[in-house]
Amino acid sequence: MADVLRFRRVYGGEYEEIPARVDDAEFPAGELLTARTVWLEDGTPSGLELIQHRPVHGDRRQQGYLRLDNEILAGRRLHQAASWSGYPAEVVRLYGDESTSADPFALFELDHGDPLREVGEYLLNDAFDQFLVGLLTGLCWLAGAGIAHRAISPDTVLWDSDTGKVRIADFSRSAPFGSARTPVAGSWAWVPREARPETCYGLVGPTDDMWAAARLIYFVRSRGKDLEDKGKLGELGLSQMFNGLLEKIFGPPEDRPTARDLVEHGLRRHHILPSLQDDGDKRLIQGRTSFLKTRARVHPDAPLPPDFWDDVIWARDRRGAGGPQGGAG
Amino acid sequence: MSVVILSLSGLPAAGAEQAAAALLDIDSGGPDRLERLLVLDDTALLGEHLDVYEQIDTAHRVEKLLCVTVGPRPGDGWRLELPGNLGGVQGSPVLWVSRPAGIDWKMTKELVANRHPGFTPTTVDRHPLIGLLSVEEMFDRVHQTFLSGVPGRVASPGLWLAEEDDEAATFAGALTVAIRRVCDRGPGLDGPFAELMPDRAGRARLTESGPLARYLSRVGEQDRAARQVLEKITGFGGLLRRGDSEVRGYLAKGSEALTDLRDLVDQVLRDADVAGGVGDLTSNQQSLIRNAGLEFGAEVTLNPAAGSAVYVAEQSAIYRTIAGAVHGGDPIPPVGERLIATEREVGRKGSAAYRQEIEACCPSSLLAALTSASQKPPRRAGHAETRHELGLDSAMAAAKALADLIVGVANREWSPAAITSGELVRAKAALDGTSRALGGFASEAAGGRGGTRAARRARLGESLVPVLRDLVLRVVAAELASPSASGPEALRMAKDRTAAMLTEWTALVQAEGVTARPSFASGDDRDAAHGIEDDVASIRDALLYPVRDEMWQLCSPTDLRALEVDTPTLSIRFASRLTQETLRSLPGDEPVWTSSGSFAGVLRLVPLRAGIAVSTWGKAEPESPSTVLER
Repeated sequence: MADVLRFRRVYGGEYEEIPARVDDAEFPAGELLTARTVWLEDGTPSGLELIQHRPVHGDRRQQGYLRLDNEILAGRRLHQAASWSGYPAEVVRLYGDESTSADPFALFELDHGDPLREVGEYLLNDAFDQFLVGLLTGLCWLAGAGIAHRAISPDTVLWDSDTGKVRIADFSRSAPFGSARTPVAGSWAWVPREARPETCYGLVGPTDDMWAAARLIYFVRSRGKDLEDKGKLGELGLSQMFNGLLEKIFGPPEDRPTARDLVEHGLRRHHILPSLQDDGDKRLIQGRTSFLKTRARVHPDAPLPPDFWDDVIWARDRRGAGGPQGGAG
Repeated sequence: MSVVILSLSGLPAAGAEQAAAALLDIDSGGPDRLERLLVLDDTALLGEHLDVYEQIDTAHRVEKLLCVTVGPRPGDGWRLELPGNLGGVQGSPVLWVSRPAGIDWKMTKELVANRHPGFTPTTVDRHPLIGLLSVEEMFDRVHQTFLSGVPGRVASPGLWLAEEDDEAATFAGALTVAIRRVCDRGPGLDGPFAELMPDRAGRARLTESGPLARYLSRVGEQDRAARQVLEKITGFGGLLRRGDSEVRGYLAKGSEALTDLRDLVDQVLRDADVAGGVGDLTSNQQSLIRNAGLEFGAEVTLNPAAGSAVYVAEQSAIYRTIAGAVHGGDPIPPVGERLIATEREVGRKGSAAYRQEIEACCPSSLLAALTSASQKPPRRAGHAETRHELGLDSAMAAAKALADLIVGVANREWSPAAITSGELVRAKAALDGTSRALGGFASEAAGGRGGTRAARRARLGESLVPVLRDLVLRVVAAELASPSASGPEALRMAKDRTAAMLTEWTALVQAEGVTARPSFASGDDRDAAHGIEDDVASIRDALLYPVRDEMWQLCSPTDLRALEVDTPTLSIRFASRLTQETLRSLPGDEPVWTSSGSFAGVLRLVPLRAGIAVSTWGKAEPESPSTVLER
């Protein structure tokens, strides 16, 4: 696995500069990272086309470094979490990175699919079911890797209509569980209260992405409308579909159901979830230790998050107790 | 092929040769053949550029050549010395512009001229004459006129111009206006399309001989029989008690029929259920529904051999509904929103979900009351009151409610004619994809409409709206005829189809003018020509301008003596093809109808007096002015 994460040489020939998919209301796309299409040399299938993200030069370069760090750390954590069962199809895959040089970059697979902003309102009923399962499965993977995406929105979640797959992209604002929440700029429609600049508080946790995810589910179900009132969930049958759990997402993060809760106790389809138990727990701990070492080197001032094993126990206890109170129906 | 311009103006011999080589050298990527070459040169440099003209001549790749030479004759000479392949009997035509700013001159023997007002471009390639000659149709006509009618093939050009718009830019601008009309959010009706709702589109009904209709009918029969008896009873003031048992018998039979109806409705709702409304009925379920006495009317009887899939799609309820709204003037956004509002109403949930409504339609308590042994007609009550007391009215209402329920469920859940969520979403995607592609075209066109008049764009745009609506509906029909696998694919396909149709339309306009009807247009109303009728007055005046009257002659006053005024005047009228339909009946020679450029007016070609222009490959012998006869 480790070789996947090491620096890979890139053909120095022709490449195409394109704006990176880094959506931020504060900065125009491409302000912080640039991207270009590249082809790997060895160890990968012939002709594999990847996207290379690099920090831009100029005033924004420092912020670009931070964004790139987030992407690399999230990608590495996902690789570690997924090592025993294959890389999750629901998240854009990190193929390699160069994180320590003066000109760092990350290599991602090309975005397959279109942002839900463009195509979300056209998903047919069977595709909606695939979307639902894909999104929640992807979020389960993120939780299993101990990171929160923190920018879930119709712009960062893609839908590949050819394969019926969801793909979560742009990890540039992701953060590991247990780190202090930093403010996320952007539309209030997609940033929960605890992450908005004016009201930011607390530590990143496994329910941070659920607020935006629930709104995204409504966005697709309602064919492109933003959720104005959680009472609307019932009108579209989402309350019933999730056994009343979806409404609980709009409370404080501590009381929110996790993605796994929504699948197991809402949709009652636990068989689709990635297995993160047993041996996986040990690997998670090992991976987390490795990650924290790397993180301490890159960000020496970052606060130490709580033990990830606590999260696993916490999640397991909740499952043992039958999920969130009153939600399992 | 368009007109290629070779500018030698201001270039020394070496630079001119380099410019010509870049154009004519095959090895360095030059074209195999130049159909139209317009050479711009300085009169004073023609001698220096002899090698270039020789090179052009020997290359044998230029089909038609026009030369515009700018500036007075060099020195004080009277002769206009030209390279050997220009002018004369066999050379290429030359337009001599001795003074680009020109003069206003009436073509008479009296050599009186006025200063020409207005702006004159600083470089020759921006001169209106060059712009005019760069139009293919104009180049060809000028070339032909020189060869057939200009003695010595050298002339001084004169212009009479009217303001006019570029055809391509006008069309693009007008299409943008039409796109705004069709695609921008505007007033439109709200709510779902009633004609697509299940009760209208499903076409379910009870078969006359089926069990459901039979039970319903039997309830009615017993009701009628009971009524007749009750009329007798109440008619005699309640004195005939013999009728009581008879009424009870009818009530019991009616109750029995109502129970059968209720049970059958319940059974069909239960057994023909498709979980969650997702999926198709099995053949057994279809048989069950059919055997219970439900059938679905065909929407339109079509001969399969009568038309294409698109034709069939155009007969569908959903297409006709969308077409009605679009042709009725609704912009695309509200039509799309109504499709989604309709989609929310047509959602299927499985027939079993309706079983709970059975009790509301036909309460168990009603059945119990109808069969109760204590039921007997009340004494001294009116007919209506008696019916109510006995539950006859309720029984009839319950039977009808059950029939309505099963027909309603059939329309929504089982009807093959019902509009599905998928059809509505794909149609919405087709509309949105079309709208996005049209919006992209409008955004691109917005940057290039300078120089065209807003009023003309608006009028022409209005006339293009019906054709644009045809385009939108053709995309929708194509999607309905060949449904995409997913909504996003429908969106993508609509974008592609729209782009292809816009390309076809634009190419057709390029070839035939703005009134050309693309293949997707219905009807044959060529409103575009009428839309610009009131714009052409100034153009008509320009085209009818007397060619010997005062014009902008591109020469200096001193050169007037070199012009031949006694020969018949040669002139070429020209105007944009936009105005062709309207101006076709103008008297005189057929104007040149230009497909591009913003020109309308008359080009006058005044030949030079004999002996002024001399074509030679060598250095011409100096000649005294006195040896050239000037009158």
